[in-house]
Amino acid sequence: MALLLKRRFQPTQFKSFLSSSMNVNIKTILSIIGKSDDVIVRHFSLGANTEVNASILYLDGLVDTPNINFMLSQAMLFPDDEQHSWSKVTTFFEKSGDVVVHKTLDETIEALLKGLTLVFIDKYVSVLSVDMVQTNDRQVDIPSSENIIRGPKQAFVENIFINMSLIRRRIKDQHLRFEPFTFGERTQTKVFVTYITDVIDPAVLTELKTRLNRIDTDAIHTGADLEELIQDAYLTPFPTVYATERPDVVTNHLLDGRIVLIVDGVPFPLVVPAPFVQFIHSAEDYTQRSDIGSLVRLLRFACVFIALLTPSLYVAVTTFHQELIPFNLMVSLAAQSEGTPFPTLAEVLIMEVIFEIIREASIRMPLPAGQALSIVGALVIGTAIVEAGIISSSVVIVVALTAISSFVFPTYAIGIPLRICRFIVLIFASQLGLLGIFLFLMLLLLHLCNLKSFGVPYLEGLSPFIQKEQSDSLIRLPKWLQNYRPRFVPKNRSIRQNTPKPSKRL
Amino acid sequence: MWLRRLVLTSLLLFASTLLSSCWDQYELRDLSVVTGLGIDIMSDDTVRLTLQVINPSELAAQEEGTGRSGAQNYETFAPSIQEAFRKLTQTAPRRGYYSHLASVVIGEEAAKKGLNNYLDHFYRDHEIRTDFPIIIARGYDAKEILSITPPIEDITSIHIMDSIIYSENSYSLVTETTLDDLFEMIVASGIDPSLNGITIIGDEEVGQSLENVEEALPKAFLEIGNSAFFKEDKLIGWLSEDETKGYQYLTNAVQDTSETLPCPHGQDNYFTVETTSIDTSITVTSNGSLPNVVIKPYVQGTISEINCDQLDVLSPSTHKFVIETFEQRIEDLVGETIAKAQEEHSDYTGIGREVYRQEPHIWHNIKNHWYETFESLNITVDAKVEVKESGDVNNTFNIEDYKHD
Repeated sequence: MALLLKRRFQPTQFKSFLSSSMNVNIKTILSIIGKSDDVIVRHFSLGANTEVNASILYLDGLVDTPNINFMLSQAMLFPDDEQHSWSKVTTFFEKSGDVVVHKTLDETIEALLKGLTLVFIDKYVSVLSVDMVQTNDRQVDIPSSENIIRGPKQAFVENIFINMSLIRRRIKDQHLRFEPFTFGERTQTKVFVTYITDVIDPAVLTELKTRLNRIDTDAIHTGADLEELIQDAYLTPFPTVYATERPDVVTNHLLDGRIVLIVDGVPFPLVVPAPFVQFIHSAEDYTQRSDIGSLVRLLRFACVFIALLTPSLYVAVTTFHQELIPFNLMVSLAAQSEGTPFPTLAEVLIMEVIFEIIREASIRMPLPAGQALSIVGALVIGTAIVEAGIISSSVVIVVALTAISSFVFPTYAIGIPLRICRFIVLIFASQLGLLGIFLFLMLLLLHLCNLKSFGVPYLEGLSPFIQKEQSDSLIRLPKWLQNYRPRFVPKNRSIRQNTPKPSKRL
Repeated sequence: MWLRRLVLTSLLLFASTLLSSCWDQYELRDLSVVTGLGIDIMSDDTVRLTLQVINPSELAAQEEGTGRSGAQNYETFAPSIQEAFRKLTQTAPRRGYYSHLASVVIGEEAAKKGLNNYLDHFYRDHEIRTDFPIIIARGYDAKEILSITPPIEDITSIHIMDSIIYSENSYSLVTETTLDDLFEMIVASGIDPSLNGITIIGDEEVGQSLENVEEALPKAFLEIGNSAFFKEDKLIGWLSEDETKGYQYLTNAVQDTSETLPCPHGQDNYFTVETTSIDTSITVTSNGSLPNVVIKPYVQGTISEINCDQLDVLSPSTHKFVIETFEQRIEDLVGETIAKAQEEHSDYTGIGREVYRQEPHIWHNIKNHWYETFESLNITVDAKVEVKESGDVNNTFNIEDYKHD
């Protein structure tokens, strides 16, 4: 048993020192990383006359080959009248890229796998690694999942350094920190813990670092990997870590005193702490005027309830509380349900599941097939199922309304718990009517009150209700009223601005 | 520990499911939605219930009807109301559903026997709401009233409810009296109930068929009008039209009505005043061992129609005339109503209740022989009217003015 629980990954340790023979070193490394076509070894000599043999070793595709060629041609011009002192050699290669000296074999191999170019010089016991890394990365593009109308159109990309620059461009503050971490024994994924030192709560940072230090895994290759390893509660459908692809949103959160984790290879940095309301907020709220920003935000909060409760309210009201329906509406609903074969619950469940299938299919399928899917989904299923008398048309309306409301949220992550809960509350409603719905809502409220995100209550500002938090919670007040940072920031750091109320003097 | 907490929590949650009252689950298509109810008493004292059950697919706007009637009437006979309700399932294929009751019609004979015999179940049962209007069938059985095919609405009972609601807002003969109101009037001391009456005008035989609505002029109508008055819960008579109007001024149940008044100088024509507000106060003062009752209807209105030749709305004397005529009219109507109440020994006017509220000591002494005291009680009616406007024009156009052209 103990064996089974043991780490499945045993890193190989090459503590052995390098040999003084260049060829032996190269042979050893080649035998360790295995033979493959992208491992390139090139021999050259330092200086024109003296026969100081040297070799470079690199992985093709990870390095800038023209730069290497240029470096090799420059090696001819190495001054050979002088003794080859180590410092001279380092200085020479510094011209091509950042140089690090390695003494052990495993360091050397690690450098090679990161894409650095190794330089071996015969008779020397050390190896140089020159940074001539070149990656073929996607260019900064417009956001694909968090679109807004007015505001910056940049999104994060896979390259962690580009992402870093996107943030640096927006915050020119000496207190901005990118603390590097590396996770995953095999993937060696770089993660930057980003924050502004004099804004954050140090306790949150300490807590985050404690959680990061617990990580002991072979691979981190998505943001979700990291999220699942550091989040507060795992027995909840609700996300407690916020992911966004927008640099302007990340900037906002950094200035609010939150901490951002940028993961290499993932265009979605993670933001902590992340209370519930944050998932309903959109970048659009801040780029539009505060009045419409607030109203639209309220609409989105209303959609939380519409997306969660519409099907169950429909089931509860039509099968338990017919007296609540206005007479004419009831007549129309009753007429529609005449002759349909299934109970209302079954009708709603069938339509909900069909909708989930269509949604999943439309995400997975290749783009050109989209037309076909919308025809099958909307026309065939939507219209024909009603005309065939299998499902009453009011159920289709209910499911459609639910579906539309669940796409209102700016973050995809918050739609997921609502999707899960929608089915649970439907079962409650079908068994106990409105009583069941309220029972479920009570349980949900208890659960949400119990959640925390890095020490911050999940319903921060709403339960218990805190007046001061309301400037940017359910509504968004104008910028000149948002004088304070969120409450989890220590009091002495909470003042954000002192701009007075706008007034006209002309 | 966590197990204990889990058990406690789930027990608490489970307990809450026992607290609910009406949560039986029924699909909409399994319900017979009863919108109208008629209560008649048969010669052998059994109750005959007429239940009007809607037919949703005929009523719904987007469905194509098959030409069947929008509602069907079912009849059940039983000694008690609930049994009659349950017997519905013998003839109708679905479960009766009574929360959408639109109106309850009580036959004249049944009302004479006393309403208490029928209404208890409505108040006791958890499935029935108590906010539907109650109306008395005048000269007919409730069954006959509910069988008339109304011209616009598809369902007789909805037709009755809508008529009550709309005429309450525009003509003073009708007030909506719900089961709650009725109970209050039966139970409270010093007041007897009064309920609107409904009757059939025209050929009731034809009125019961769809033929009734095939022509521009229906053969039979339902008319809501003169109120029935009760002593305790037993119907004892009907108010005339004027007495019903007087009753509405007295109880100030309506706000918006119109009153037609005779022209000045004995001219044989009329002008009309539309009221915008009626506020009647009943003041009871002590007069030794007897109460002294002063009724002050305060009415605001506008002139809404003039058919008189010499009614100059711009002159102050005419204004005075209009007001005085209207005041006189109201005093006559209210006086007539009170006289009828005194004569019939039924205090549907609620004056006894006002005595009880304002002079409880006197009420305590006279409550046992109230109807005798009431009969000889001196009641003053002093109406006050304000007429401020005359609609969109001042004086009416006068044909004589244009003759010389």
